[in-house]
Amino acid sequence: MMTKENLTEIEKYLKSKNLSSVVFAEVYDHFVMQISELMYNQENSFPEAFLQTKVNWQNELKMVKADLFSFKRIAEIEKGVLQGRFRRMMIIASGLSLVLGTIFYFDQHVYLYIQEALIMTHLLFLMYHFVFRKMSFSEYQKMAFHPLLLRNLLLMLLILPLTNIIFSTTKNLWEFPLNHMFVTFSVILQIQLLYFRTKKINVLMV
Amino acid sequence: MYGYQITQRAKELTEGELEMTEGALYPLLHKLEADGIIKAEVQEINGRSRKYYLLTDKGKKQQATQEDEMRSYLFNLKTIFDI
Repeated sequence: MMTKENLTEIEKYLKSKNLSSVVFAEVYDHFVMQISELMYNQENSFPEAFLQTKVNWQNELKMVKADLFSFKRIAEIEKGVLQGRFRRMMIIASGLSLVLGTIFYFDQHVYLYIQEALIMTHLLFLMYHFVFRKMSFSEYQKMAFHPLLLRNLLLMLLILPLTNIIFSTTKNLWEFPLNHMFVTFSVILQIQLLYFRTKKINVLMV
Repeated sequence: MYGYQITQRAKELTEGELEMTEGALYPLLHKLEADGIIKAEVQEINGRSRKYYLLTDKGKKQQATQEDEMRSYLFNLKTIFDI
């Protein structure tokens, strides 16, 4: 039977991998089960079983960059979970910004109302986080460097000058729906990030 | 079923042919949960949290559809190979 010290050793090892609480609980349970089985069925000692389990998991627990634009290093298994979440957030933000871009093209007044509503939602979410101390200002500052927002910013910096060159115009850039789409994308993304934070779902906020 | 149990059951049913890597299993379980195909229930077992996964109604329907598709696919393959 595994001792309390053995369990603490597993916990300590997994904590060094910076897993989110949900993934940590699952991986911890998996480790305990796998080690127990190796100890009972194959009569291995705890150090042998623990080492074998660590070797089995080495690819999943390898520390990698969370995203191309991320400064944070996380375990590969966490990256797999996060990438799926990021993809979903990007699809929602892209779909909605496309819809809003189309609305802007046909009726700028309607677009402005929706944009205002989105910004208000964002501000309300922020107020909720600050009032109920769910997030500090420094954490909010870090959110500005979220990899998904950095991706959007980079794309924006590439596309905005291109729009100017392609349409050979010196007109106000805000007359192009595409530019509004970038802003909408960023606001929707931030709303989602704050929403996931409220639900305590890891989206790599800090 | 919980994560470890799923890997062991898959191994047992396929007599070791199918070995699921945990790196593929957990992200997939989280995706299916987000899509509403499965739901999770956390239970305390020996002082640690264990997440049990269950098929939702939507998941059961999808399972039935995919089983039918797979059976039809295998039947067609068998027909081709038997010629």
